[in-house]
Amino acid sequence: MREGYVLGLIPETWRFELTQFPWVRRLLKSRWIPLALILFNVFLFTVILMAGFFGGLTSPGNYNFGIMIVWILWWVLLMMVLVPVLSRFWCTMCPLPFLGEWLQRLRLFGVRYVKGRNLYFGLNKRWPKSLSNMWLMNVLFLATTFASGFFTVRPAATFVLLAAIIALSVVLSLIYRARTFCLYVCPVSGFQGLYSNFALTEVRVKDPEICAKHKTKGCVVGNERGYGCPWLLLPYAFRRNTYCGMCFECLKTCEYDNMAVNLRPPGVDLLVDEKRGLDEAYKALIMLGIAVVFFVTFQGPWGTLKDWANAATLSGYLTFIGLHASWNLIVLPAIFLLFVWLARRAARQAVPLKKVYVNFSYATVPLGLAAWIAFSLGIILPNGSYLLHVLSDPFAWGWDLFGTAHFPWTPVLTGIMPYLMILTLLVGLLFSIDIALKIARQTFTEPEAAGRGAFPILGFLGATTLSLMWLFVG
Amino acid sequence: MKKIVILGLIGLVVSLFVVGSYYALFRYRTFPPAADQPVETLDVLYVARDVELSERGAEDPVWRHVPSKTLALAPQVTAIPWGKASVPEVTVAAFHNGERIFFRLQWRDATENRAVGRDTFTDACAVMLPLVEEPQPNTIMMGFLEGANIWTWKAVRDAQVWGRERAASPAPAERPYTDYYYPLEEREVFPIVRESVASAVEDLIARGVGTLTPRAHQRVQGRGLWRNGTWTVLLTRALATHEAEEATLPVGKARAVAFAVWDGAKGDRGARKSITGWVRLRLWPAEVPAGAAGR
Repeated sequence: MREGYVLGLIPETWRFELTQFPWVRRLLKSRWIPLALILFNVFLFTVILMAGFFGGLTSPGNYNFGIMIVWILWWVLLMMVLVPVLSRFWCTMCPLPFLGEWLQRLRLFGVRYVKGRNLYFGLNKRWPKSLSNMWLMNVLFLATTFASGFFTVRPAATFVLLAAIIALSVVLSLIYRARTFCLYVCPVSGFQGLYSNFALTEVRVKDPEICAKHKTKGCVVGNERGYGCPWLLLPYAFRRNTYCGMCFECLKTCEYDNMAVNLRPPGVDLLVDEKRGLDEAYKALIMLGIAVVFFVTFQGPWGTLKDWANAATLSGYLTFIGLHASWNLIVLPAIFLLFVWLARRAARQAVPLKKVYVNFSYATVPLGLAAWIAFSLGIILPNGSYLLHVLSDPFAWGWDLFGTAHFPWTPVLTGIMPYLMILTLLVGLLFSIDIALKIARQTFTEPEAAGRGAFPILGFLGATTLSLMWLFVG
Repeated sequence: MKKIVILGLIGLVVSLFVVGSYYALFRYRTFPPAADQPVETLDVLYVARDVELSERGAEDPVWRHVPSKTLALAPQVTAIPWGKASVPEVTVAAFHNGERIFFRLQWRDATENRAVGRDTFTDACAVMLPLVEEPQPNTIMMGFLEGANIWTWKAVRDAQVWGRERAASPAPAERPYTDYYYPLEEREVFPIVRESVASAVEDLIARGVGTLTPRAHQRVQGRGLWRNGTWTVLLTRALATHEAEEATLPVGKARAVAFAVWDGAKGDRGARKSITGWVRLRLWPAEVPAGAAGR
């Protein structure tokens, strides 16, 4: 592969500025964006919460608006479109922290800016430094998946989960600064952040020289046009998508219109050796591991496992939690550690094992994302037609709002679904190999050592892909 | 003052969450889902006669006079191994004589596969009847959680039953069974895993994926005939039920039914099959209102 090119084809530095079009820039600088999108989702999630509340514990999942919209439509859109293409665009329009942010700002539309700074309601405390990473999100996301067996069959479980996220976001917004909840607590935020490094879009500075000379830094401290970065970042120094929530406040506050939204080649942020850590490495592996657990549980032929996940018995449920947690926190990271150890040994270069482990973990991101996209195909193609039903009858009250309440179950493209899944995995593998080879050159400075060191990692990626293929298509 | 307001807000939010969750989880009122009704209806007319499980029975004129439906089949994709759209459609007809119900399933299949072995799979078909009158619709990803009575005809069993004279003595009421295929069975002096096969149709119950279990009392009979690239399979069972795990077939009412077909030559086995959606099975009483059937 050519150095500096994605897959040897597209220069890593290639960018296409979407905000060069005046109407796009105007749109993103308007305070209606993202407010309008958020308000739409507030309405949608209100209906979802109601459907979950009224659905109780026994309504079948495929006839519940909350379950269908959240776990079929939203999750699939997130994995297949939003994250790989639009980065953290879901965070742009997420309604869950809406109440908390509204309370902080005490404004829905305008900007509270007095005496050179934005005003916020709340205690505005700093989040503890020891928790300023992805560990808490890793634990919370994993813990959330312990209840995954309930979410698709018990609407009340979806209600409790969403209500808990909303309540927690409000409470933390009243205590801590800005989007602390989204940055360090939200279970969905962590994997979006990591996987957004593979995304095709980014918010970045156009000309760093302008920022270097600019003293007031409205993008950080805010001004009368907008708030200082709610994600507590330095927009002028962005190099990775991980923690950028794409709220576009920096586009609004920049006095020089020096912020841009760009199209770019996929995966370039995975090569940025900045603030890499074991927390993100674990996130990458946990996501890969959970994809396997979900597939085995939900689409596997093992009824016992379904019973365990569905808490048919307490001992079975505890067994599920134990196996699930062990696989994701111990077994898979240990398997990866073995390959990393082999890589370091093959390279014969004195690089700390932790650095090798962390660096190569980013090579699993494209494959992990592909595994989730493949899993999502297995959700949406057979079950997508139920969406038409719940749109017309969201509370199972016998409504027929759009005349689709009696649309029959209609699987779509399921005959070629396994082939689509294989193709998805192969594309993911291709990108993972590309990233792994480049990270090998970053990690082991000598080219020959890098070549030798990459081999075990390619073995891990290949074996993982084959295992997933075997799992997906038998 | 500000701190008091903030504490009050936090208390309010937490209280709302606790109360809301309590009501959602423990005081909920589940609304019955307005499940989609089956699109297709298969009318089962009363015809005062039997058909024998034979070639003659398969071609009996009665099948030309009872309604039949050609149902689209889709690959099964809710539990691996997934189907591969091997069989596109199945034509089903049925009638009852007040005592027994008869089904005839027909589908195109270029090859007759009546043996199993390494990478060799049998042709088969099945009729699924939920054990409750109003089955809850499927639940995504966790599979069908209601009980179901499934009649599975397999060509390999058919060959065992119809390819030789039946044993003189009836099969014992309860037998050990296995779902394990032992390839060296034929070489063993004593049977290892093979059960005594009394019917080409297995009468099974299931509550979800991975729970297929033969019923203690096998009461479904069947026979399959392959000719000119088409399977014709006849299935019959008494209308009256004797056990809770046996699907009811109430005359004068409608109930749900689904069908599945396996093409062994294309690797279909187990969950790898082609299935229909729910079909409404309407059993007409002896007196059929003029022009009512077949609607």
